[in-house]
Amino acid sequence: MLPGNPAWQGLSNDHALKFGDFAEWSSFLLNPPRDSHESDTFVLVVFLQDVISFESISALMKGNASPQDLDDLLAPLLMAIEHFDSHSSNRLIVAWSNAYSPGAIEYARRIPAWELIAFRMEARLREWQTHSRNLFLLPLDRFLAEAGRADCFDSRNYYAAHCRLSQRGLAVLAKQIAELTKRFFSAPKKVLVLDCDNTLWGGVLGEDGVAGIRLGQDGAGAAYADFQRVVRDLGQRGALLAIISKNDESIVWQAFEEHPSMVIRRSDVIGFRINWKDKSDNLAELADELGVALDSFVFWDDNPLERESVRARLPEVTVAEIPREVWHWPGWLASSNLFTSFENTTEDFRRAEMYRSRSLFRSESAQCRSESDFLKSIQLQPTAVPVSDALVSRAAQLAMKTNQFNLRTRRYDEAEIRQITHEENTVSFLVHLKDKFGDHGNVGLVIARRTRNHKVAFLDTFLLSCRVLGRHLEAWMLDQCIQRLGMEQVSILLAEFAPTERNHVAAKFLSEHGFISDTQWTPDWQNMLEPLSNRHEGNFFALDLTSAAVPYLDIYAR
Amino acid sequence: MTRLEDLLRQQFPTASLMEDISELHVGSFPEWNSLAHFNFLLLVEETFHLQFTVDEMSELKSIRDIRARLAAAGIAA
Repeated sequence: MLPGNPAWQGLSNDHALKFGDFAEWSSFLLNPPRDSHESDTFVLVVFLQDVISFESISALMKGNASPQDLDDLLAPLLMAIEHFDSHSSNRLIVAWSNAYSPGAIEYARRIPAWELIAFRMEARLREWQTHSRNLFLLPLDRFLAEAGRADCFDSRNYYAAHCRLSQRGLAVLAKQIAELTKRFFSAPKKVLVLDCDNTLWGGVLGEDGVAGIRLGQDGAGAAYADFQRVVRDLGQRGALLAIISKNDESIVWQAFEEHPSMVIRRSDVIGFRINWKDKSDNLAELADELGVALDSFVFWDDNPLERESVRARLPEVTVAEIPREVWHWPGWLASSNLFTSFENTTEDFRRAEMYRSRSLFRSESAQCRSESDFLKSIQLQPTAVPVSDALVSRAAQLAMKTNQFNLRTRRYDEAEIRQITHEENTVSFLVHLKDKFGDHGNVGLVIARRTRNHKVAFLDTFLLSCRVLGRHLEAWMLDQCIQRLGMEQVSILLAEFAPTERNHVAAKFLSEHGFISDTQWTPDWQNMLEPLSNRHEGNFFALDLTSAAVPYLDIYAR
Repeated sequence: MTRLEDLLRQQFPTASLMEDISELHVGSFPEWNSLAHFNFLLLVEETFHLQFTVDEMSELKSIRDIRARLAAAGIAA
């Protein structure tokens, strides 16, 4: 793999890379390292020709290869991978390639032997993957083909240094590994903001009229329609679609309703600013309206000046550096990874609906005189839900993505969530909420850990999705936590507020719900709450559970 | 014009190179091991648009060797 090659530069900027010797692959997989850090990721790069001999393939082709024959050839590799995955809590990326490229005649009447092997290997790994959380597959040939297979392999490198790939091939491998590792540590984007003219359709609506825009039939028009199809598909898989366009609003909606080739429907659009104002101002307003931070926004606009302006004024926003020609857009967006998660949770599919109900909640509550009466009228039905295996991915998603109402912003991935919630001294639950505006799904996560002094627990994680803020659900969550800790004989709940740029909304939660700041602790408490000696004064709080009275609970009394 | 010296600095950014590199070879400083040398030859190939043979990959061991090979291809570096 040529460690030190410039192809690895990008990946090594973000990660510490270590390379193993290929000859040791099986002993490595059969003896997973014990000293690895939980967040370490291992990558196995396999060229089938390095693990299966040409002789055994020749023998195989003399008869009719049965799946069992193929499995026998693959057994050493698959068993080692499965062993590693069962005995290690680290992520394993398996990248594989078939380095042998047969000619057309070999394909014409049968599947070439090496491809049979590759198909079988992928099928077996996919099957294993359905029960595995940490195995990630990288079918390298698909990506090498895209970059040009002939340029990606270099037999000279193989015979001179046992590396089958060229620099270009290594760069492709490194880039795809980087795409995966990036998603391990950061959540996908949430909102796709689109322009209209020369973005959703060709031409200028104000000048060409609804009938005159290019959309649907002809060459470029068909490309715009296909782009809309990709956009709508992203919307249905959890991306929120928004429009920011310098246009007259009425004519834009007219195009949505009347143009026969519009793919995106008005109901797909979760927020919009169609006016003549500066696009950055519109973006900031939209972020506020949706309660989504700007760094979860992707801005898509055909006009380079608008892109430059947004990039300069709102550096948090991802400005899509889109291909100049529209016919490249559908493919570009579909393969961009911007909005893609490894797994789609139920919440992803229902996200648009949830944000729509959030807007409705905001407009109705603005009309109501008393907050408490309003909240009582909307039939809030929270439930505390155990973090079961099926819900680990949602819990991790919340821990990774929640920025605003989050006391400590501890980012836990699935493996960490699973470990923490299984610990004996931990009280943890997800919070599910339904109300008049709909089923919001699992929106909160609480993790409290008892310290060695069993009377004291520490609020490790306390977070709530911003789309259900304004309902005092955090008070109900705290009460649930207190009840559960009470059953464990805990009498003091410690908490920390770790300020970030984004969690101001949670800053006063602790002091407003009966917690006492460590600046006001009595000497008794000071003694009992050691050994928190390296805490930051002013950010630590404690609640006496024997006398705690949580406010706002009447809203939830049924 | 790109010179071998620039490529050497690019491949070994932490090494302190002397003014005249023409006497340098694999092993002249600790970073320049055989693997790094292979990567260095790939960099030379990419920069000057040529490809060394398998044998050359093991024979070109010094700046002098590489310069001679480039000169044979009409490249002064």
